[in-house]
Amino acid sequence: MTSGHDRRRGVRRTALWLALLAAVFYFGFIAMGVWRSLH
Amino acid sequence: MSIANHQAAVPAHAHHDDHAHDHHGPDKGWRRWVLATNHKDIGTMYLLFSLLMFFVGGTMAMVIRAELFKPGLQLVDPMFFNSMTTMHALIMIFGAVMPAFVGLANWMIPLQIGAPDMALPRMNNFSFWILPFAFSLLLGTLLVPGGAPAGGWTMYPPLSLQVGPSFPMLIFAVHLMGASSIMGAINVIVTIMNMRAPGMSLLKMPMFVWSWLITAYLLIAVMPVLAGAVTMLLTDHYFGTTFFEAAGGGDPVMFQHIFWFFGHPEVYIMILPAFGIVSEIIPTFSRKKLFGYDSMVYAIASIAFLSFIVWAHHMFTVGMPLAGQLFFMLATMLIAVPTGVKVFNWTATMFKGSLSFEPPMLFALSFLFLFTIGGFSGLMLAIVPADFQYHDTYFVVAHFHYVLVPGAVFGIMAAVYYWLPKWTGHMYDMKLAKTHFWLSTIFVNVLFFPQHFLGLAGMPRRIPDYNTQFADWNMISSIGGFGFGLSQLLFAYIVFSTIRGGVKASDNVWDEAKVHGLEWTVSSPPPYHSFETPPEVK
Repeated sequence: MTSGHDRRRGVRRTALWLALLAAVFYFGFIAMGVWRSLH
Repeated sequence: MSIANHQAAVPAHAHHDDHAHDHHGPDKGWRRWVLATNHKDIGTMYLLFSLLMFFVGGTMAMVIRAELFKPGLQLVDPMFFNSMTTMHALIMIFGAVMPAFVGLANWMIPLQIGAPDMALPRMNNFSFWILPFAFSLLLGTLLVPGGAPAGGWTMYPPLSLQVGPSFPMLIFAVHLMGASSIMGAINVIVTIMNMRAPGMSLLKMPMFVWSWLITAYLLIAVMPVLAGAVTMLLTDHYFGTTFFEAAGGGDPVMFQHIFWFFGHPEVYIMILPAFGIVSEIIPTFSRKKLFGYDSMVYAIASIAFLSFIVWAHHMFTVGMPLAGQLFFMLATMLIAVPTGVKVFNWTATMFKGSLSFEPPMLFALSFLFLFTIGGFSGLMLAIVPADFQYHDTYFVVAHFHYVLVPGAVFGIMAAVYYWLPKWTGHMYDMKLAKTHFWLSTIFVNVLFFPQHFLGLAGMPRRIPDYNTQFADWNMISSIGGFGFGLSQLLFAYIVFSTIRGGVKASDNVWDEAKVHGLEWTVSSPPPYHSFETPPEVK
């Protein structure tokens, strides 16, 4: 069983990775739109 | 005891353990709800908000069906009719179905995985409280000059840009809904990945939890795509960019590609949690274990993966290369394989089971039959040459309503009838619930089945007036619509009267059936902090 400290670290790490993933999709699609309108 | 006061018992429960520093009950009055961090309180707020939006969106549907009751323009002007179709869709998708599933996730995921609460309770509060602002803004568009958005929920440019001040309000509201959904999804994944009880490996999780884990990944991948698309619409409108404007070198069809890259997974976001719910209910009332648990998990994951590579079947008629049409047609048909696995497994679970037909099971069975009809009409629409005929007709309207109403909405109702006694500690009136089931099932078919015929005969969607040849089926459909709408008042009555009181429900609730899962090991209603000591899962 994981300790409270490990769990807190796991929660923080998972949340940050997922937020990053969401940001990549948001800015990635806008960047694709910019790239497409320039070519 | 009701949802509102059941926690009154909790301080007494906490007394057993006075020395524990963090045992406390809910706040009193408004603070309990506005500052809520408890997963059950937030789940309750999501579910009540969703019920409210269900009636708001439903009222708009009644306006649509009243206008279409007979040919000719009689009740509303065409622009307002278009606003009604647009707002009905936005409210039902983002305000009713999605928040209802998030509410169910909030209530049930911690209870089913043996956790005390969601992993990020303050973000949970924030993601709920964004919603009333988002929908006030969206509904506020009905009051501004030029009227509410009327270009369809798909917001295709250039049409969607041709409205007045409601446009930025719509864009801002969509951003808020997206932010709320992304935060909710992050919370679900973080909770499932980090807060499971000892011994609960991934392949021991209840199917509802599995379905939500996969749905949450879909949400994180596609809600930012929708946000990106509407951000580009906004900059096209106000900041001189030309992402979607042909005159400036942009491409309006690109919006459709980006929108449906979000939109098709969105369809599965609205149905996968219902798959999870049905996978919980059918084994209980068949008194058997779920047939093919592992294959059910793999089927959901396959459906989720395929949902990312089929988006262009929504836009076959824009003109795309033959290879593209073939790819998207065949990929779409491939979804029938994992979906077929699921339908087979549900049927196999019932095979030789000792079935009983309580309201949750009735709704699950209705889901099974009627969702499958929606699936089959989806297969018809996947066929490119046929789609050229069906595109933008009432056949499409019939198809997606079969998927979303007896699919998603019946899934939600099945879940409410299954878990409401656990939530409130009261059993509802079975006779009334069964009456609600039969009225809903009969009227939903009267409402939507004739729309297949209308579509095949060529009636276009999103029009307030039509040729007299379509009059009879439209009248029947409208009668079904009014009947279905009125039947839902009974649902609201059952829910609120069960919250207020009634016969005490046992902890096991469905004593006679074979219940599975940790949620049945806690009291009905559950204690304020669900599992303070994590249960051992063998």
